[in-house]
Amino acid sequence: MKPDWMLQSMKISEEILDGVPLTTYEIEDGKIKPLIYFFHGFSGNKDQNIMGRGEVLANLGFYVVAIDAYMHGLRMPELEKKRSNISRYEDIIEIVMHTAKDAKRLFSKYFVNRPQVHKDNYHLYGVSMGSLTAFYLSTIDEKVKTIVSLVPTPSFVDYYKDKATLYGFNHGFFYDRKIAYYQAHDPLTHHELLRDKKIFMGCGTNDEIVKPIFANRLKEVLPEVTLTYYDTGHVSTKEMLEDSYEFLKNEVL
Amino acid sequence: MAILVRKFQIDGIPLSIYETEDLKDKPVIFSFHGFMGYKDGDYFKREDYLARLGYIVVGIDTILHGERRIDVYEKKPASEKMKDINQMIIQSAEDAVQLYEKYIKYMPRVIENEVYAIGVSMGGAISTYLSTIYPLKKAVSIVGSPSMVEFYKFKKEKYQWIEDEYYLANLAYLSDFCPVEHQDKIQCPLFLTGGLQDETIPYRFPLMLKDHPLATVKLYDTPHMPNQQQFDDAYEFLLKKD
Repeated sequence: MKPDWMLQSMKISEEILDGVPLTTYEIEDGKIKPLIYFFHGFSGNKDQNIMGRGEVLANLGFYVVAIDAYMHGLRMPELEKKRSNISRYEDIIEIVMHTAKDAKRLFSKYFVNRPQVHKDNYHLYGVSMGSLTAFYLSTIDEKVKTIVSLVPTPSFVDYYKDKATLYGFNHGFFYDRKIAYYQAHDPLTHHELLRDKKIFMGCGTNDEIVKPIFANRLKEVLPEVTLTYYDTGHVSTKEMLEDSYEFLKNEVL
Repeated sequence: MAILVRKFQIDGIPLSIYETEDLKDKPVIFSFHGFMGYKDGDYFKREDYLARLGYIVVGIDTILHGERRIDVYEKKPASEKMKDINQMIIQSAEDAVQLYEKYIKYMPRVIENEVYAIGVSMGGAISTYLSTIYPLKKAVSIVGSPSMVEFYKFKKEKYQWIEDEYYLANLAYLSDFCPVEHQDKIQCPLFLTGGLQDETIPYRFPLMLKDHPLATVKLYDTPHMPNQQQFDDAYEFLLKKD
């Protein structure tokens, strides 16, 4: 016998709001639902990198909105396609900040008007670069209540410096100006803005791409956040996913 | 004197910087293009002219325009893209502020905190909106609308948009940003032109600011395509010492 949620109708829709392509997932049961954004990782897109999480979160009772990050997926202009991945990585913080501002505006402009969506607050689910989008968005919108971050980093400056060393970014005027700008907006530096949020961080102990050290630093300054380690690298494991869903069930639903 | 043109991208935003090849310090002027245009496509070559007048001219591609176009959006007809014009205006002005505060004001030969703006049609609307969010020295709008809300209603009638969730959400949102509804936020002298035969942006729109103490509105016997006189008057306005 099928569980109840499999008997209900899953609606998956694609739309473009303000030029931002997005996919929504919802169970059509007439209930008012909390909205949760899904933010994918660097060089990913809203559909290929969600890997079934849209349906799972919708079945849990969320109105799920997966959006293409700025200059990613369907939002990638020809100019961007010509750049190497390393060159594009130099703008990762700008991608994060732009995407977060898009998500904030789309919620207050469009989603609050939808009858099936809770209007007072919303929640975030981010993977890798998407986690950084979630952390930054949480510092600029008090309507964000819950963050699930997998293989995460809440850091702008130290994370960027780490990548600059690894990939050999050009140093000089633009690098210096970027670092100064990131300092003013860094979620880790401004962790006080995250204090009233419910936060789950799932880290891979062997993650060399986004090192767990950045999540550790947030845990040090905000001991109340949930930080769980998994014996893996820069991947979302089954156990990590199940723990993230359990966290959302306990904190939101 | 030769004009030095540098074209590059910062933070994913393509820009062109024009200036004369000398070592003098100069103020910055942003030059904004129109709807469906791009940063280097001005028929009147105003970027060259402004550089010769002594400015460092910064042209940027508006989001979803020029080298920032994306395939999925390009498939939409112009009437559908027009529904997003005000978001493009707001985003471009924010891009300009960010680029200036983050990079441009620290560049060589830039006189810090002396920033001007000029634009044609949608670009004029960007100039006007920018004057409400940033302390410009002067701003120019050539055949642009300073209104977001009434302009959006006008386009609804013109394109026969249905009054759906998208339209109503945009209309409600724009009310917080519209320079006509928030005229008190215009902090610098503003020069607006309109065309008496303009059916794309009728001259009643620039006239909406005719009573603002910092605004000068001038009408010309032209359609939406401006004439050289409008630019000459704009340059005179920019250079005039107050």
